[in-house]
Amino acid sequence: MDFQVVVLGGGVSKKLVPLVSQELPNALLPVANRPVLSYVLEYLELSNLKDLIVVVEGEEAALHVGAWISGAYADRLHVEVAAVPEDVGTAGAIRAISHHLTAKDILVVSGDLVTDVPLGAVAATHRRHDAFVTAMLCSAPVSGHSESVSSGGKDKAKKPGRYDLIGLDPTKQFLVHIATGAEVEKDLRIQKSMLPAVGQIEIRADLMDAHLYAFKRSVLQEVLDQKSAFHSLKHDVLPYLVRSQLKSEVLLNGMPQAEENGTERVISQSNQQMLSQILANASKPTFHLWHALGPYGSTSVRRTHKCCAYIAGSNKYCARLNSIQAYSDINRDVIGEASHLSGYSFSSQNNIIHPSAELGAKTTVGPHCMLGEGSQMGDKCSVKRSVIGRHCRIGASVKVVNSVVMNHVTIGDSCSIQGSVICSNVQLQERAVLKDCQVGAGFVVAAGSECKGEVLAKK
Amino acid sequence: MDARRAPRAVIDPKVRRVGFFAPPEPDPTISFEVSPSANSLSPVMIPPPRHSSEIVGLHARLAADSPSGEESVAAGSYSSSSEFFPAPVSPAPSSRIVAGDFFDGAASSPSRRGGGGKVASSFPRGGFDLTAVKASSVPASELTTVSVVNAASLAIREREKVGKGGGSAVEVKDQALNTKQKKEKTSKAERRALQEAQRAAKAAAIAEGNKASGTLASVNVKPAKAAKPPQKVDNVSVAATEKKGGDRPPEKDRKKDVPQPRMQYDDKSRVEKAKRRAVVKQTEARNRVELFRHLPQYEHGSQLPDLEAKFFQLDSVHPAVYKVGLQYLSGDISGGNARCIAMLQAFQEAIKDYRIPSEKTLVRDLTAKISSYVSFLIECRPLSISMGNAIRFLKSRIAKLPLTLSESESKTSLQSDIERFINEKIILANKVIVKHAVTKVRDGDVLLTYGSSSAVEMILLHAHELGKQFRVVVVDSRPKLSGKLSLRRLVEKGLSCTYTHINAVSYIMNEVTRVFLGASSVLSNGTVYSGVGTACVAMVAHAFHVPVLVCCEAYKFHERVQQDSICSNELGDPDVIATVRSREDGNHLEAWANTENLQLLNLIYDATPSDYVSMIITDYGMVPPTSVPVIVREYSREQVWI
Repeated sequence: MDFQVVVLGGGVSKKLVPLVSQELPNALLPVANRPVLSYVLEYLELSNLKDLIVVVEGEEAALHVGAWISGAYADRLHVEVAAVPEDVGTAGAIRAISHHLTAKDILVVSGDLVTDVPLGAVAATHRRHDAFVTAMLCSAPVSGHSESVSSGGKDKAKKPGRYDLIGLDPTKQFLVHIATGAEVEKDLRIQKSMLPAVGQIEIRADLMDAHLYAFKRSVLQEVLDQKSAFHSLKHDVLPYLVRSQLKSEVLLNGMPQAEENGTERVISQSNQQMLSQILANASKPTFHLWHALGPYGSTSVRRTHKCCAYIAGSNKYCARLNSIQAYSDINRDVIGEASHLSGYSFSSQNNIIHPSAELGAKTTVGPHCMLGEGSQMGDKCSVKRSVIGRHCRIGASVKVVNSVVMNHVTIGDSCSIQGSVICSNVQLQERAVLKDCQVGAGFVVAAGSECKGEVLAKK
Repeated sequence: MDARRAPRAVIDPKVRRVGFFAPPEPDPTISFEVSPSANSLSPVMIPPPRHSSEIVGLHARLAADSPSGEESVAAGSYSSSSEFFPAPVSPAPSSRIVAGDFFDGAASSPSRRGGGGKVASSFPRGGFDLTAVKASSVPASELTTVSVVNAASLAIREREKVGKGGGSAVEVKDQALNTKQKKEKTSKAERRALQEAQRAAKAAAIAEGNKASGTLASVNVKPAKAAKPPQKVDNVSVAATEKKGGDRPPEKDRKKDVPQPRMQYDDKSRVEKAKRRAVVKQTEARNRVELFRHLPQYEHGSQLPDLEAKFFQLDSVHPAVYKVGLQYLSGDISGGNARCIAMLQAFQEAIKDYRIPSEKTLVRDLTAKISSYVSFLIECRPLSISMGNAIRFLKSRIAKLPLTLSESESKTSLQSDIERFINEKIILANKVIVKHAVTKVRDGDVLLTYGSSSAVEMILLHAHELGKQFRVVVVDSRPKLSGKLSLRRLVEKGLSCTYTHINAVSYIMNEVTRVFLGASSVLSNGTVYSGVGTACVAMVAHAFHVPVLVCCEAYKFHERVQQDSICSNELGDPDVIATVRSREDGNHLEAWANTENLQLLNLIYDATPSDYVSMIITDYGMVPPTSVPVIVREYSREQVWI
């Protein structure tokens, strides 16, 4: 269908810092014991998109990601991995691989997206409107979970939420305004020219930009070429395209200019004009067309382009793993309400316990739980709504609630873990009590220590 | 003239006098408003074919070619048939290749896979070293292939599976191939019988061989099962090619004589069959209107998202065609000319990207491809008659491609054919229509038009450009309100307009001097098939003795005869007539789908009997409706569309 897919794998994000490291870049962070990137790749595979370019920041990270993909997806996907320097941003990443892009349209997917929104629908919307850019919008995660998993105390400083403010036209098909939460201060600035053209703008705060875009390749390349200061697709390129849609500056010279030679050309050109007029008159007009035609009596034709939005249905799951809070939320959702995403089959108790896992006497594993391969649990343990990775050794009378425990973790007797994320190779000695903590890889928590809302990592 | 029209006012079926007959004495007191003598152009004006030299040339070429052409066709079909049914020698090597492949694959596939993985994982190093070479602000990075889809190994594995079950699949294949040679002459039933017998014999032989080793039943079943797939595949493909190859010409002839009946959507078994083929999900519409059950029911709400979701799965449909289909489905493109142009341009694109698959001929494969595109488009929205004509034209062009042309030559020739069709049949035709029709616009006229027609709009704009003084009444109707768009463009150009809805047409008709209407098609009994409401306007105009001029390009003419708007029509979205967008309190029909005794009918087209049409303005001139069959006969029969 003439689409090329670029997956932005990211590098080692600062927002996820105790969890990720050079060895474990963002893309490989396990969600329900599978790297988060696998959700995107499988999602693409499901849509029959098998030629992918994965861009990873940092060479070492790229090596790890490449090695993992080649192991897991050989024979299934045709994946090419490109490494870009760190901190070039999403726009920079695309710039770096821009010479590999050849298809008519480019689909840019963030590697930390976990979703089941039909990808084809986004692409089809893009094609149907012949848009310059189409963004997928999904309903923003309700931050109601935070009672149980009140996020790590670090950035608990009453942020009003990182939502995006999105303006839509009355038909809910076009983006007419976009501002990410960070940029919004007290006032909301809307272009004056937009309002009369559109007539009515609906500003939505309950939608989130899922960082899944379909771009027209020529447009994307031209914008990235000309605006070298653009750093991010979401913060720079998309707002720029949305802003300039009524006075399009892109592709001014890219328009087909028929060379005239003789009268024949002129005739065919006038025919062409008539043809396009017939087509234009017959199609359902959007506000772009009205604006392009200008007010009554004016003859100048203004150039416009379209920025479309695809709004995912509320029954679809869509989340981005871009914060620690999101990490625990996604882990919980994938084994809970959005369990079809995990790809595992659940037992009758609504949980997944690997056959090789060993459970001690009187140990209970509640619903919406996952126990990885080769993990051992002592007697009288209780696990609720948590994910436990592979080859963990868990002592007796341990309580794990609402937490994520990665691989090869040793937990001593009588520990209690609540709302925390424990990375690989961590050792928890006896009677440690963790609440809302993040423990970095290889850390050793001393016996009897009690932590609440802390970040524990090796210095 | 009016006197002549009077007896025709009765619409009941009657014998119409077509051709030459003595006209009743003309009434000298009443002069017909659109008097032909008043203008330079006579109403009946069928000029000699404009491209006479070209057509003559075509005929001449045909005539000259005909003996040799027939020969070459025969030769072509013969050679292709020999391609499909390989000569007796070929099967043996092919089966040997299969066997070799099979053993090879079994041995090498695991190791190859392992090797592939290793190579891939060692790649990145090399790739990254190269990144530093480019000295730009952001160094261009190289791509590293880390995983590859190994199609060959997959295929091998599949074959392996077959092999494992039967143990002698190769042998079976051999037999299948043998039968294939014989199939050339035998009929379908005979072939089947032969195959059945062979299969039975085979199963028996295997069973006998294995009798000693295990239980008879289980062994017996397994090989039979395993043996089936290859045979079945062969069978199907052979049958398909046979059908395409051998039976084609006579079948085609038959088809030409008797037009295939259109799909009747109240015929359950046929609908079921069509559903299974369908790409776009066809859901059962509730609350069907009894009289229109035979038409494809509209169920827009579920179709569009479903089709969109399948975007990447539908590889068989060209992206351009897909886009047009989506635009039809969502209503982004409407209007006969625009839909036809959009479709043809999509086909042009598809032909540009078309590659002949190996062992196939362009003529057959491309025709099949276009047919599949067309059926996809039909699923999105039923075709208009004009589109049907355009498709027929394209298919005939494909069929008539000389076999000597190379792939690229035939592609360019088809593309230019499409281009020419668009230019001559649509664009030029529109221009000619405008030229003719403008002569009917006089100063002080009040012209009424209904809805939005590209041709009528161009006429009005052109007349305005010529400086004629006239007023326009744009009559519109819910739910599309397409007249508004037309109105806007007219007002922009400075025409003085009146806008009203069809409810008021009987009032406004008093002041109107001429009615210009667009048409989706003109049928060969002169019936004008056009957007719903046209008939109403034409009848009111007739009652007020206002001449009705229908503007329609000749490529939209069709030889079909239709008396009513029931047997062939299109149903639109019933929801749009149930809901009134501008009024909050007007939506009393919100839950209409749940009430069993309510059916909504949103018809798209209606048929205007020729009695109400004074004149049809087409690219061959201005003709009375009775002359439509002449044009259809003279210009479309011989495929002189171009």
